[in-house]
Amino acid sequence: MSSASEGLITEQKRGPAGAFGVALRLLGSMKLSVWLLLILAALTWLGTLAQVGRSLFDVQREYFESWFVFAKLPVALWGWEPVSKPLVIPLPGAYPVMGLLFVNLLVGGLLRMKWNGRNAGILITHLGIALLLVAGFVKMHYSYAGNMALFEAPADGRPIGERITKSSQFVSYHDYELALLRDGGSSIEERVIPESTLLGARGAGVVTLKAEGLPFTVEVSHWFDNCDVRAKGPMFEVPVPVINGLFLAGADPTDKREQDTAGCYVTIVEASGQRQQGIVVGEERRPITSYRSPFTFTVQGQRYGLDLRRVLYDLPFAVRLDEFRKNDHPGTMMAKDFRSFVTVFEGSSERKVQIYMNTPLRKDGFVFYQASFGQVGMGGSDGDAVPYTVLEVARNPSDKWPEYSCWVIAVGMCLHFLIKLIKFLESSTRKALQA
Amino acid sequence: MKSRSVAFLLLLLAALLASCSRPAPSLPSKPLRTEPWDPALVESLASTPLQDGGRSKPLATLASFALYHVHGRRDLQYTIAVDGKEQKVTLEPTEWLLDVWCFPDQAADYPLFRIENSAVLDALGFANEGQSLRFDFLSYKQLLGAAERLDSLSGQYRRIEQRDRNLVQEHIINLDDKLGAYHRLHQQLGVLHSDIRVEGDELRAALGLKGTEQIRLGTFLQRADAFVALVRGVGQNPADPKLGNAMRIIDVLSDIAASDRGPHLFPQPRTTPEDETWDALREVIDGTLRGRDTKAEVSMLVHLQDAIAAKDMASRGAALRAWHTEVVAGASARGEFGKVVLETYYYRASWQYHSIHWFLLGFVLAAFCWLLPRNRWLWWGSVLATGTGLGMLVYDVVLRCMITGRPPITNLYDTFLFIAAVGVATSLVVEFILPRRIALALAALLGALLVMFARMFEVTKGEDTMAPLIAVLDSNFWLATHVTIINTGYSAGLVAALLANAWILARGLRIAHPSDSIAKALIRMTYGVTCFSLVFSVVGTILGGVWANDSWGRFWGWDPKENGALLICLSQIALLHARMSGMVRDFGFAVWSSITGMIVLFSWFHVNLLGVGLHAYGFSSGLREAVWTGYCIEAAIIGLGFVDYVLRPNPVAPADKDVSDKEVRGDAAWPATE
Repeated sequence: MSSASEGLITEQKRGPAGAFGVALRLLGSMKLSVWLLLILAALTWLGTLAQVGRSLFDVQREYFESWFVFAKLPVALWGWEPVSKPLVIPLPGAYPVMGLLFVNLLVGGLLRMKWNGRNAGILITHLGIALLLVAGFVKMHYSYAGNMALFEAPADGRPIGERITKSSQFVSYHDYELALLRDGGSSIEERVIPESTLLGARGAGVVTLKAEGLPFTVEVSHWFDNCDVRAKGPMFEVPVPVINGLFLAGADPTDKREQDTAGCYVTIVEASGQRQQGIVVGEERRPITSYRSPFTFTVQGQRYGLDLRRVLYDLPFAVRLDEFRKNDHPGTMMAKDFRSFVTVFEGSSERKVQIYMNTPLRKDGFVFYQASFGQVGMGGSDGDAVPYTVLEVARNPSDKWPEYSCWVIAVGMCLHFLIKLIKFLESSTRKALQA
Repeated sequence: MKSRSVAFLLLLLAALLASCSRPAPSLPSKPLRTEPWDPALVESLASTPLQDGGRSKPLATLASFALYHVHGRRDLQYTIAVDGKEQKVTLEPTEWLLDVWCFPDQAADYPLFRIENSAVLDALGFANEGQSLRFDFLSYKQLLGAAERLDSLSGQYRRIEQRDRNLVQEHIINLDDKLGAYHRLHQQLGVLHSDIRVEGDELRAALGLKGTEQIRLGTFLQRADAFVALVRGVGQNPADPKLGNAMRIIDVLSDIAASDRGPHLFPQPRTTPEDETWDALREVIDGTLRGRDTKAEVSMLVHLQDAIAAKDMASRGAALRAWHTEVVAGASARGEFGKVVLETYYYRASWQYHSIHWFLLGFVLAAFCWLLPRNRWLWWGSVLATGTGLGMLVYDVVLRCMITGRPPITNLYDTFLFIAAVGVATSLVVEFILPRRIALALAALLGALLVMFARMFEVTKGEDTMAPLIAVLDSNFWLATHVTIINTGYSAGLVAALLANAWILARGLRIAHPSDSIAKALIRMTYGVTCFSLVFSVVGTILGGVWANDSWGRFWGWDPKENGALLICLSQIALLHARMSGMVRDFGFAVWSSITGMIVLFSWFHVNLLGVGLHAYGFSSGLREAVWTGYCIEAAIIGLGFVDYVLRPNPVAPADKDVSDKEVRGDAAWPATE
């Protein structure tokens, strides 16, 4: 957004000669910016259309967190179906595009640009955009998020069954892990395998897990991103193993990935060649209970368990839901406001906090948002209606950076365009006077 | 040749108008209301407060949006035979609602439900003349006859994903929704049209009935204390003959209470500051039988009952006035009448509607400016007319803010008015900076078109445009910052596209040579407005991310609405860089700006039509055709530009023009000429 009339050259330093200089000029070229911006725009557009009928999570991974993508243009969207299949457009994914854009911005928009008053606005704007891109990078690689669902704690502190009213952990929305549990008597030892390792077991794949000191290996097979445990009837066959009359029925992923339940078969292969097969399903039942029912087995007299679960993150403090309050617009069921009254426990100290829409709780790098709510029981003869809250919990080191970048960009652009407007008006006035 | 074209255009216009209009249908039976509603009474009743859709509003607002929803028009027309002649009757929304409440049998015959596809009539088993008429109407009575079929079909179609439904299926589902909505209104006071039968001497005596076995609901509730005392006095034996049919009456009252799903009509005195919900009929019945003090509400009910039972329009009017007075007193005591008065004024004054006339006047004067370019009076006349229209529009928006207590934009409808106002203001500023009479004409045209679209959208959508907000949007700070800023960006993006369109048309239709000062000025205007738009689009988009970070826990989620805003930013940034690097010149700049206009349309409307994403509060189903029309117009202009560019890549400058060297260089030199 230079105010230059003849392109970038007049506003940029010439830079070094030779191959390095050519590379610098190429990487910092404004034409490269244009092409990268156009590719990013195409990705954004096609990634938006791709969300029709697909989960945002999948589209995000395919288009915006990838190196390359075969983008699909759904022709039917246009009300015109010359072909039954969507047009496939190969494009670089957002990773290389945004990475190159960042380099282009640094080289062309900051390093090679002349640092003078005339370019002050552009430089400030470019700095703001660079900060925004860095914030995005940090968010993508160093942040994680999940949710914490809590029932209202009874006023007398008496526990109600296994309902969770206080917690110092939150659960990932999407990511699974397979935990190998070793019963140590008074304690349980855990070894955890991330979901990314297990995905090789999709379809006909088998992933073999070994670990030093373990007298067996674990074979993971028939991985389903979304599935259901069903009883095998006599009237039909299934393409997967049937264990104790049960099998895993795969289902298409829904457009809300967090509502899908992953599952797989696990086979314990002992050194002697003896095999034990089981099913593990990543069902999450919080806040009803944190109780898990892993697949258990015994090898050489030692009891083990395998549990497929959503990734659990620990917090350095605990949160208890004291009250959940929902107000509707008068005469309707439409929520006007819903908020959680919580107590934050840290060591021996307690703090009462309200979390509601647009007003999250920020503490120790974690941010708690009011995400959703629900209730168990309908009241009356159905038993007490007990509300629960769902708080989204996010850890993002670059949480506030976009906000800072926004102000930087706003100042930079306003400065630049104001300078241009004033110059234009001066020139117009001068011309009018000359005429 | 010219006169033939004009004649053809006039014929086309006449054909279009003819296809849009149809004769008003006649009523199948003699109307029960024999004289029209007193206009003074209607005007007074229009401001009667009630509570519906989560807020207090005037009766006229309820009536208007109910009529828009089911009928798709601002009034209802039918014909009746008077002295052997057909006479057309036009009902305003308030009159229509009064008919629905006071003359439900007559209202049930009104041609109300708009059917736009003859296949819908076929599906419901109605004889029809095919698609010869653009639309037809069915009455409530007719539709009730096909209610079972409609219910079955809509249930079947609702199980199909929305994106997979065809037009007829969608139409049938909408029709079922409309029938339900109308049914609620129709039944609202239905209970007041019939009597409650009382059996048993002691029960009749307790209720003060002499020589009759019938009692109206309002009168019953007035005497409910005696009824309750009698029932309690009898104790636990429901078979006691003293009770008469008291248990049956309680069942009837329970049924009435359970079926009441319409607006809340009874503003009971506030018991606590949090007591926001008015009483509906069910609460009045329940409260009265439980011994709560409901005298004021029951009195309102009795007035309504008297209005319904009245033998003539004069006594009916008197009863309705008494009802109005008591409801106003109740709402005033709750502190909720002030905004109802303001809203009544808002819709009655309809400043936005008047602004259309001023914009059109401004446009006509601007067009004359082109013919008489040296006439300053015309220029000032156009500026004043457009400015007056803008003033009216801004006042309209301010009134909406005062009524809702919110910043200017809370829903898709608001965006039309706001974008129109900002677009007109931006164009006027551009005209003052570069007075070439083009931005002036565009200002007036944009204002008129967008306000007209807003009004069409209001009727087509048929939903209260001041409805309360869902919890996530309940932030005046973010509505005032992110939403207004991003919409300012949209608005300027549209203005830039229109200016670019003007450049393409001027070149393609040989009105101006690219080196003409007017063409150069157009490019400068487009450039300036694009820069203006970019600032607001970028800041608005990032602020949206900051808001999302505070409410949903992430700055950016690749949601369709976010992506739409990002697309505008990317397109404009790429455009400015392409211009600076020499990748595009005037022609490319104009075409690219026009494409950016299409992206603005995509972001403003089309992402809502995709039916996915977190910004689901902006969804609308009636916009598809309008959006595609916009795309097609833009594409046609761009196409024309390309054809012209291919045929005349370097048009010869007019020989009689004094074109300086700098201007000939034009494309390459800009913006050095600044």
